[in-house]
Parts: sequence; C-alpha cells; structure tokens
Amino acid sequence: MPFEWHSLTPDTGDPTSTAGVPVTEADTPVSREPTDSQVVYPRSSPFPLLRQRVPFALLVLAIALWATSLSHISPSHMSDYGFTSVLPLSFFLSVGVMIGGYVLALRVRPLSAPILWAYNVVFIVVIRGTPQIVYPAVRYSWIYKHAGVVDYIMRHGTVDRYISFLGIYHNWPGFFALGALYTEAAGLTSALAFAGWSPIFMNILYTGALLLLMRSETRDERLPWLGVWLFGLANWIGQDTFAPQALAYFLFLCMIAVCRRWFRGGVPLWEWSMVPARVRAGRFSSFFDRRIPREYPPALSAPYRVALIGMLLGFFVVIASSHQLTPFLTLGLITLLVLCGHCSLRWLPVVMAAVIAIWLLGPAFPWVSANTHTLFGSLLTLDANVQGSLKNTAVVPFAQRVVAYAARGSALVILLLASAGFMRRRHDGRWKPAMAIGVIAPLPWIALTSYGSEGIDRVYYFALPFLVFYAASAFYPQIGSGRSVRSGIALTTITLGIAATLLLAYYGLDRMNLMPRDELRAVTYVTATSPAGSLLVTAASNDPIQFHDYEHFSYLALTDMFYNSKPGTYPLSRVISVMQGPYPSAYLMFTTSSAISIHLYADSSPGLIPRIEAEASTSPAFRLVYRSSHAVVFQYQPGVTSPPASHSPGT
Amino acid sequence: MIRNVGPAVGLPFLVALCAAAASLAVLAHLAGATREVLAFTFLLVCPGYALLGVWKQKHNLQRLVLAVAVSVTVEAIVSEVMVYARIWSLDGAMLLLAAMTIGAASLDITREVFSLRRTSAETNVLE
Repeated sequence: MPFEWHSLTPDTGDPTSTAGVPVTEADTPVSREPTDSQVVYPRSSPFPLLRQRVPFALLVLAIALWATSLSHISPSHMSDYGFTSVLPLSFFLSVGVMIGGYVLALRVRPLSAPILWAYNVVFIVVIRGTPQIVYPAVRYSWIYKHAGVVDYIMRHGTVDRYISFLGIYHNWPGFFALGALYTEAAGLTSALAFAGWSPIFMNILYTGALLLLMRSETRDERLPWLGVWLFGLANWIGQDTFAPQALAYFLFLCMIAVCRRWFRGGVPLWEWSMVPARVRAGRFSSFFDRRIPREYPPALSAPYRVALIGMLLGFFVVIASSHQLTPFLTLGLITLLVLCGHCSLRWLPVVMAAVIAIWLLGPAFPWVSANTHTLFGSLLTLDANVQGSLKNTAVVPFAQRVVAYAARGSALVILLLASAGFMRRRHDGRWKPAMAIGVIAPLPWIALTSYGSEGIDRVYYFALPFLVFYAASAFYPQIGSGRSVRSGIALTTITLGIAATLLLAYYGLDRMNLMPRDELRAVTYVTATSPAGSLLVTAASNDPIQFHDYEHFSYLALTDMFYNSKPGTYPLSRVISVMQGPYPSAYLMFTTSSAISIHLYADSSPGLIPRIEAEASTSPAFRLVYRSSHAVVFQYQPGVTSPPASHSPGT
Repeated sequence: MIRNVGPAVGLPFLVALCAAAASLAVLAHLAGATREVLAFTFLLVCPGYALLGVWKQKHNLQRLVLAVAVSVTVEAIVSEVMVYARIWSLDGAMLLLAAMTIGAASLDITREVFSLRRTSAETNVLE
C-alpha cells in the first residue's frame, strides 16, 4: 500500500481525545472526528448548483477584467505611489471580484480544490505577474546583478571567492550555480530571459508548500486554503524574485512541512512545568499549565525514514550554500521545535549547526573573514536595527510615507487577526504550539542583525506562514464554524482591506524598480566599448548594471561616495579624484531609475546628483558618449585640466 | 494482459521520456522554444518526481511540490560540486540528471507493472 500523503493530524475540539494516535504508513490517523468535507451541513442555499458555479463564473469575470486592464496601463506615468497609481479601475475590480469569489468558494461544500487552486494561481499572476507583462524590462535592479553572477558562472564554470564586487554571491553560490544550469540547459544567453517570471513561479510553489505545512496541523480543509490566500495578500516583501532568498524560503517551508508531517512529536527537552512554580504563578499560568497533548510521529519504515531525512539534509545543504540568513532562521525554528517536543529528530539541529559552521569556515570563509564587521556589527543593537529597518518617514516624499504606513498596516492587521485566531483556538484548547513557535522563532533576529536594514522585513517574512495560520483561525476556529453570512462579510471586508495595503506596499517602490530599456542599452554600450578593468561610476545603486561581463569593471555609486559627508563647493572634483585611479577608462552614468531611487529614499543631499551631472556636462574633463531619454554617460578624459584646486571637496 | 496501467505507470513513463528528450535537446544543441520548454519542465519537476516515486509516493499535488523541491536540491548540489571542482559541464550535468531520473522512473514502472501483474493473476484465480 503506498504511503498516504494526506496523513492529517487530528484537530478535534478536545485536544486529548485523539492525541497520541500513531500513524502507520498505510493509514491516515485514526480519528473519531470527521474532516470538514465529511460534515453534513444544513442546506443553506436553495440553489446549491448555482452556488457552486458562481465562484467559477466570478473567476472568469476577474480574468476578463484583468485582461481588459492590461492595455490601459501606462507604467511610464507612474507617480511616487508606485505601480498602483497607473492601474485602471478594471484592475481593482478584478482583484475585488477575485476576493469575493474566493470567500464564496470557501463556503461551497464540498470544497473544490481545483477552483481554489485556480483562484490562487490567477491571483498570483494578476498581482505578481502584471508588472512583468507591462514593464519594458525585468523589474528590480538587483535581479540584473544576480543575472550577472549567473553569467559569470556560465562563462568561467566556477566562482571567484575573492572577487571585489558581489563577492558575497560567490561565497554562497548555490542559487547562482542552479541558475547557470537552467539558463544553459534552456539554451539562453542570460538568466534575464526568465528571471522576471520568478515571482509567479515562486509564489505558486509557496502556496503548495504552505498547504502541505498547514494540512499537517488541521483537519479543517478551509483553514489551509484561507491561510495561503492571506499569505498571498500579506506578502508585500519583494523577496519572491530571482534571488537566493526566494529559493531558500521555499526550501525552508518544505523543511518545516516535512518535519511537521513526518517527524512530529518526540520527547520535549523543555516544558513549561519545568519553570519554578513561583515564576509560573502569573496571569497566564492556567493557560500554559494546561496539558498540551503529546504528539506522536508516524511509524515510518526504515527506508522511508532514511529517504525523508536525506531530503531534509539535502534541503538544508542547499539553503546553507545559497543564503546567509535563512540557515540561521531555519536552525532556530527547528531547535525550538525539538526542544518543545514538536520535532522528533533531536539530532537535526546539531547537524544543521555543523553544516552552517562548515560552510562559514570553508567555502564562505574568504567573505566571512573580510566582513566580520558586517556580520557582527549590528549584533545586539536592537534599537539601531529597528530604526534602520523602518523607513524614515520624516524625510521621504509623502507618497512613500503612505506606502510605508500601508506596509505596517498590513502587518498590523495580520498580527491582530493572528492574535484573535490564537485566542479563539486557545479557548478550544487547540492552540497548536508548533505554529506559535514558528511565529516566535524569528523574533530574536531583530536584535541579532540589521541585515542591511531589512531585519524586521525578513523577520516578518519568516513569521508570516505561521501568522496566517492563526489569522485564518480567527475566521475558522473549529470545523464547521464561520459559516454565517456575517462571518463571510467580515472576511470579505478584511481581505479587501489587506489587498488595498498589498497593492500600495508591494508596488510602492515600482517607480524605481521599473527599468527602462534605454538604460539597458546605455549599460550594454558601456560594457561593449570599454576595456576590461574600467571604472563605472553611477548615481546610485539602482541601475540595471552588472548583468553581463560584470567582473571586467569596478563600480562606485555617488550616493555611497557622499554618504554622511558634505559635498563641498565643487563635488565633481571629488568624483574626478576617484576616476583618476589606475583604470584604463572611467565612465560616469546617470539614469532615470537611479534618480528616482534617490528621490524616493531621500538618499543624498537635495540637488547633489543633478549638480554633479550639470558640472560634468560642462567640464572639459568629461566627454558625453551616450545620451538617451533615460540615460546619460560621460567618459572621463585623463590629462584634461581638472577643476580649480580652490574647489576642493568637503569632507 | 494489463489493461489499465493508469498514472502509476503512465506518469513515470512520461517523466523518463521528458528526461530523455530534454537531454537529447541539450546534447543536439537544439535552439528555440522547444528546448526551453523541455529543459525547464525536466529540470523543475522530473528528477524529484522520479526519486519520490522510488519511495512510493502517491501522484498528487503535494508530490509535485516536493518534487520541485527535491529537483532543485539535487540540481543545486550537482551544480555546486561542478563549480567548486571546476568541472562545469552542461552535457555532463544533464546526462547525470537524466540517468538518475530514467533509472528511478524505470524502477517505479517495473515495480508497478509487477504489482499489477500480481493483482491481475490473483483476480484470475478468484474468478
């Protein structure tokens, strides 16, 4: 008899009733409780057939509205509010219809998995795919850099762990080696040919992995479907792109799903009861002292067990060799699961720690040894990490303030819903400690690292799969509940609100993420005409550069050069002093996307970059070599008289 | 005679076929959309799907999700080994992955066919 993949955990009203039911390879867990689809509900609609067809009809309507909207989107007219500012009414109607249809689809009995999958896929295509369809080139400047590392591996067949630029990627090359394999196997010359479609593909994978994870926690079939829907609505973190984080996150979800599905349970190494009674004697003592039903792992045969463990170790090796932060977050979560008796593989954290140590002290050592300050500089600086992660709303344009508050609002709504769901589950004695651990485990990382001012975002991202489980529980706290019309209206209203924040937060920076083709042509011109070893000075770090032959150049951004320093009376002289270095040729490039990123982030002194551009255009030390509507490139002329010495830069 | 093989044999056969076609497309330096579709389909799903079949996993969506995870894991490890050992070879990687996939799928098909024959023989005896 084949192994049963739907080996669901009993999730009954009484936590002790089914706890400890062993699961064999051939059986699903024995439970006296039916699944949600087995519950016979009173006939609530006089037109059941019509009700089943309505979600499908609404989905078709949503697709039609979205398709109509595409021809009315003009990305070049975007305002500081991002992509949302150029979306037509039909796009918003499409999203609204989808949300209403999905809520309706969740109320149909029996649940139709194909329809729910179709809704999720269409929603992902609409939200994550529309920019790729209407933008002239691949979204996000960082994707070009990732494509550049893939290009390096394709040309050299190896990595350079001591390389000056993008060295971190050469020390964690798992994702890029994989990208090179895919690009070459498909007969493509650059990963950019498919990189733009990554958000669609990755989000579909996240949906599958989340369903796998949540189905191991509940027998209520609606809850995982609502969970993945909320995940899609609340995931405004743009880390689903062609990036190591996207791959590592998918494998992280799979690891946790495998641990919870096949290696649940175990003897806890720590229990609440171990805390001294006088410490426990608080407000929540009755809650925590309540006996948590012990979980038992399924009885797996040796070959299955070995295969699953091999799978887990394989996932983690790829995570550890692809991304810097994810291995630590995965290790933290699995350690807590083991400690609290929710993962039976007690040795797994030790092996995971060993894999991380081996990677850091082996393949990644060149980067680790040269960047100890980057690694440990933000350790235990909680206040600085929090401040660094939150956008400084005092200095950015008003629209960006709205975008920042939309993102925070979305996170707050999910947190409130999750709290409500937790409390509703708590009352029923089914608070699912493993999921609560998933929420708590990433939190210490706020104090441990700023992660390039993205610390809080990443913590939210890693807690989100578990938060949405509880958020969904707020609507469906137990099997058969949440079927009233009032509940449906509340769900529709709240998800519409979260969708509004998603559109603002996810698309909010798209004015700078939009890469005009002109800029790509300018970069291609520079890389094609300049000798190896040249210097390319850009206004900011938001240009679509480095996507091919990137190691032939040195790079510098003016925003980094003038970071925390006064530009002086003649800032160009400082730029010239750098360009006079040992480079066969040096270029100064100004692009629209960089100018917009400086504007949106308030990244430099007001007017500094336009001033440098104006000075370069009149200076005899620079020759204009490329000009288009979105890019200007100057070549430095060595030997031509520099600006007067009296115009020395400030410090 | 086995009359109804169903997805238990049909899908592993398709997976093996896709592996063979994709590796042939790469080795023959085929260009264009056909190669892209074959290469992406094979690399994203097939190695993992075939390997999970060895462990007798059911054919459903969860298997598909884990198949992608196992596929990218195996491929990332193969690619990284080649990168660090400085033996990068697309043909080599594709042949290795295709051999692994076809081997695992063949094992799955053989087992299913024998299982079906046994069931068929038992049914005949009962009849």
